[in-house]
Order: sequence, then structure tokens, then C-alpha cells
Amino acid sequence: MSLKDTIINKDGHFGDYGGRYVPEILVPIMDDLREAFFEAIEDESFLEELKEVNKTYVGRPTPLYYCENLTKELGGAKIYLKNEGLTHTGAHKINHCIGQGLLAKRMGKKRVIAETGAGQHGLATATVCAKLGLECVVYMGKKDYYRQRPNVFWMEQLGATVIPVEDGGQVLKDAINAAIRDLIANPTDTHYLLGTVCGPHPYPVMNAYFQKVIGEEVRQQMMDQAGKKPDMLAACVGGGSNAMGLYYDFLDDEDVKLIAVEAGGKGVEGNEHAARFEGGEVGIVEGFKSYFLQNEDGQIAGTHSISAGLDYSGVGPQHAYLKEQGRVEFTYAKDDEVIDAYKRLARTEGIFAAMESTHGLVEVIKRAPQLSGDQVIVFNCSGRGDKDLFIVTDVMKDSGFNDYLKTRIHE
Amino acid sequence: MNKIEAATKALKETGKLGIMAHIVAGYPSLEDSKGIAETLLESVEILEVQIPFSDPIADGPVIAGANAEALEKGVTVNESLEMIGQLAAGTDKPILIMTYFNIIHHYGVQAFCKKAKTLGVQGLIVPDYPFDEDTGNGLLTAAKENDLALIQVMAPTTKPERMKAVAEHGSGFIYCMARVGITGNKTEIGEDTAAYLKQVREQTDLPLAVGFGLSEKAQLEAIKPYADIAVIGSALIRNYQGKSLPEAQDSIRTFLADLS
Repeated sequence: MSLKDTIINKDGHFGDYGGRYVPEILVPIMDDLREAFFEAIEDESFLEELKEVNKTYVGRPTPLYYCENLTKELGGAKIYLKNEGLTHTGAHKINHCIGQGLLAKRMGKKRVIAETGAGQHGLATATVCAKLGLECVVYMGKKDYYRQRPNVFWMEQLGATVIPVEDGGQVLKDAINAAIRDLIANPTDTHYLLGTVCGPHPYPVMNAYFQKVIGEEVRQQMMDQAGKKPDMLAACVGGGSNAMGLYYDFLDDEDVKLIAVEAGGKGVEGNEHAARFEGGEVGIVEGFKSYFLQNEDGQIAGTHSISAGLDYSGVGPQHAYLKEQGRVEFTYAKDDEVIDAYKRLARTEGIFAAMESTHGLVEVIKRAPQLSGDQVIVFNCSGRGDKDLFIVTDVMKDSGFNDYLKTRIHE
Repeated sequence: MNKIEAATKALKETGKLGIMAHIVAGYPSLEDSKGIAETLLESVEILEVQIPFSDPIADGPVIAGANAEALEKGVTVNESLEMIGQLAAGTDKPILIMTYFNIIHHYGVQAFCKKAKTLGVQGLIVPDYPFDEDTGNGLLTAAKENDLALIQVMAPTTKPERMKAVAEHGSGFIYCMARVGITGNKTEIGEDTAAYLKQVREQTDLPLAVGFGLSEKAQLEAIKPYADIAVIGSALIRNYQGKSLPEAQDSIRTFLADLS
């Protein structure tokens, strides 16, 4: 079986990983969703609609941009940037939100729920629901709710109800649990829009399917612009949706090297990181089997990353499989390296990459000089960086911005 | 005859609806949870002790909160197991371990089952382990080899063809969720619930335990014609939450007396 057929398959296992480890009450919900998904992607009219919305609303295809200045500065392989940051809402997340939104409508669902940590996935979900006329409820840990106030505001503007979750640690996993409880209580009219290639089957398969458009476009664009396939693809991996989208079309092209970058945080020696393949172990959490950061008892450990989107203790099961097969090489980037790379891209190319995406860039900057000028690296700029205003100004201790905030408060 | 069979056989003979009480090891503290368990064992037929987990997706806010608080206080899997062993040694009633699969997987499926047997545990309830994920994990076999009942769960939404398959994998008893929802909210026992329990009954000769959202005598009366055991979880925790151990023990005795 080809790798592509293994990664998107009806059974939802990828070697030993993946699966559908859910309470019995969720089993019929997941099975119905799986049936509906596989039926939809066999239906030309559904695929046509998806294509149309991707074109007119999402803004696809996104540009593949040759980073000429950065390439010259580094002196080595040619660096191309797939600019998912130019999609509507500013990140690749919209790809699977649109896909699942259309599927939810097709299934006759009236209501969509989602969890969100930093607020980006909630924002993309609220956007899609506004467009498709679906009621939207977003669960957010109470701590995140206060930390990410700007995104709460935007979601509310889009008509979504944002619920701060007061259970447990009041962070992302508590939001996930609250969303699951909502789904269990409302199995008929509600679709749970899970935002990455994690969770029980069919979510990893489904989101990989809706994201694979990234790599398909890259293949075509590379042929048009450079007349060849890329030699290397690089992307950051939190849950892993943008990386899966970039890699998928090339999984069976053995001459294309695939590089994944996890969040090294403050270093993988301690506990302040989210590099699951460095310090994690195989586990079964939130409905799927994969690698998770856990303590000596199998309790899920806390994580740290400068980028909220990578700050998650588990990684998508398809990635665990691809790593085990030796198909994807995993590494990590630390917070300080990310800030340096972020500044460098802004100055050389005039592009703010999201903190998440910049993890991939760190590795590109390390590798490009070691490769020859006829080789090509494509890096997935999965989101744009202006959303990180508060994080970046804080890390850089920008006194001007701090003064501005103070003035705003006094006014 | 094992302890679960003995307990459920006795219930059948007396026509009584048994009670399975659920507690979380380490909540409100390790010592208090043991004291509470001992009080429960004075009157309930079966005791279900949950080893807390950081991501309890099948639990409602009350039990999830108890899990989080126990872990915050630092309770470990080994401490929980030790406490369970002490409880089992002091009673003839069946004691079951409830926990999420990651705890068992991390401990080692074989090792965990062996340990549970050694401690005198009669069965396991693992809510995120559907029987069709057994390939590569082997919990069904490991439980069987160690004389542990791996309790299968039915939900009102379980489709008829799957109900049959779930029942075929059952041992000990079948745990029937009474309501489409998560533990802790009030369950209305209506015709739907009755029809569903009858449907499960047709699929299996095993005793039926009904749980999720039970807190009142009237509910227990209503399920009695269709069930052998009522599971009391969240309502119990709400009953002793915030109380000192002696207060909690008094409160539990009153609560259980009111149910019977």
C-alpha cells in the first residue's frame, strides 16, 4: 500500500497509531461522521462546492513565493515559501474549517462547536459558521479566555458564543473536554469541528484530506515556476495539520525529503517545551494513540512554547507513523531561534510569519547553506505573524509598544 | 464463583436493586477517599474506584474536577493501587478499578492486570477502550487471563448491531449509560430508557448496571424493573464534597439510606 493510501484510509489506523478510543456514547457519532465524510468526497458536487469556496472565499491557490533575498543571504538551496498566511483569516486552519463546515451542512447539522486555545481555530470556525449560516459555540479555557481577549472579541463579532470553561486547569484540554460533553449532549444537531490532525477517527484523516490542497498546489506551482519538484519540504508541527497538508501529495515521492519541526520551547532538557518526539511516549489520550508528553504515571504533562498553536502535549497519529517509518525527519526549534528567524524573514522578504510557522523556517535557515544552489526547499508559512503582536512585543520588550498600551489604559 | 457473580446472584435472589458506588482515589485526599470507601462498603454491593487521570474525557465536571484535584495533590497510580489493595483485603464485596486506558497502557497492560489481580480486584472499567480497539493493545485477553471482568459499556445511542457485539465481549455485568449525556446531570427515567434497557436485556444474560445521572430514590425505583445495579457517582461526590471525613461519612450513610 502506498503511503498516501495509508495516511488517508477508511479504518483510521496508521500502523499502531490513530484509532477511535472514545466512550461508547461517542462511537455512533464518530461512525456517522466517518460515513458522511467518505460519502461526501465521492460526490462530485461536494468537491465542486469545496473547490469554489476555496477559490472565492478562502483565496486559493495561495502564492508560492521565491525568497530570493533570503536565499542569497544564506547561500545555498533556493528557498520557496508557501504563503498560507494569505488565506482568509490568515492561516491554513481555514482549509479544514471550510471542509468540515460544508460537511456539517451536508449532514444537516445546525450547530457547530469547537475548542480553542489561542483563539485562532475558534476564529476560523466562527468565520466559516458566519459564512455558512451555522450556529457557533466556541469553548475556551477560562485562562485562555482572558489571555486571548482580542480573539474572543473577534469571534463574538462573527456571531459566535464563546464560553469560558471553568473546569480543571482552565486551558485547552479543559475546553476540549467541555466540547466533547456538549457533543455527547447534542449528538443529532451538532458537529464538533476539531481543529487539527488529532482526535479520534475520522478527524485525522478528514483534516489531512482538507489540507492536502497545500501540497497539491505546491507541486503544480513548482513545476510552473522552477520546472522541477522540490527537494525538501519543511513545516512546523503542533497537532500537525499544516505539515500534513504540505507533505501529503509528496508522501510517495521518495526523492522529496520531509522535515518537521516541533516546539523546543526553552530547551528539550527540561519541561518547558512541546517536542513530543524528544521527551514523549506512546499514549492514548483524547481518543487517539500517538506520542504524548507524559509524566512517570502516564498523566499528560504541561507544555511550553512561544507559539500558542504548538503548545500542545500530543501530536497527530499520522505523524507518529510517518516518523516511525522514517519518512519524516523530526527536529525542534527553540523560542529564541524562532524570534531570530522571524526578524530575519521580515527584514529580508517583508513577510511576518506566524510564530508557529517560523519554527519550520529555523530549520530551513540551518539547512539551506549545506545544500547546493540547484536544490529547492519549500517552507510552509502556515500563518501570518500579525496575530502575534502581543507575544512578539512582549518577548522583544518593545518599550514603545508598552508605553502605547499604558497610554491606552489611561485614556 | 467470583465476587461479582456472587454479588449479582444474591441480588437476583432477593430482588433487590444493588448499588455500585464510584469514588476517585485521592479525592479529597488519599486518606479520606479510603475512609469514604470503607463507609460505602458497609452498605453498597460493588465499589468502583477511579484512578485519576489528567484528561478524563468521559467524565462530567464533578468527577473531572475530583480527578484534577486529586492529581494536584500529587496522588500517584501506585498509591491509588495500594489503597485499592487495602480496601479489597478488608471486604468480601467486589472492587473494580475504573480508569482511562492511558494509565493502564503506561503501566503496561499485562503488568497492570496482573497487579490488579494480586490486589484482589474483580474487574476493570475503561471508558475510552472500545472492544474494537483491542488489536495491538490486548486488554481483553490480559483481563481474562487475570480473572478480571472488563466491563463493557452500552449507550442509548449504540446501534442494534453494535449492541450485540458489545454484549458478546461483556463479562461481569454490562454498564448501561442511562442518558445521552455525561455523568452528573439529572436523568429522566422515561419510556425511552425503559425500552433501551429492555433492548440491552435481550442481547445478554449478564446483569445490567445502570448509571449516569442517578441521584434520587424515584429514579432508582423507575429503573429497578430493568436493571440489577444502579451506579451512583457524581451525586455521591456532591454529597461529601467539602466535608471533613467524619462529616462525609455521616452524610454518605444518610444519603444511601434515603436511596434504599
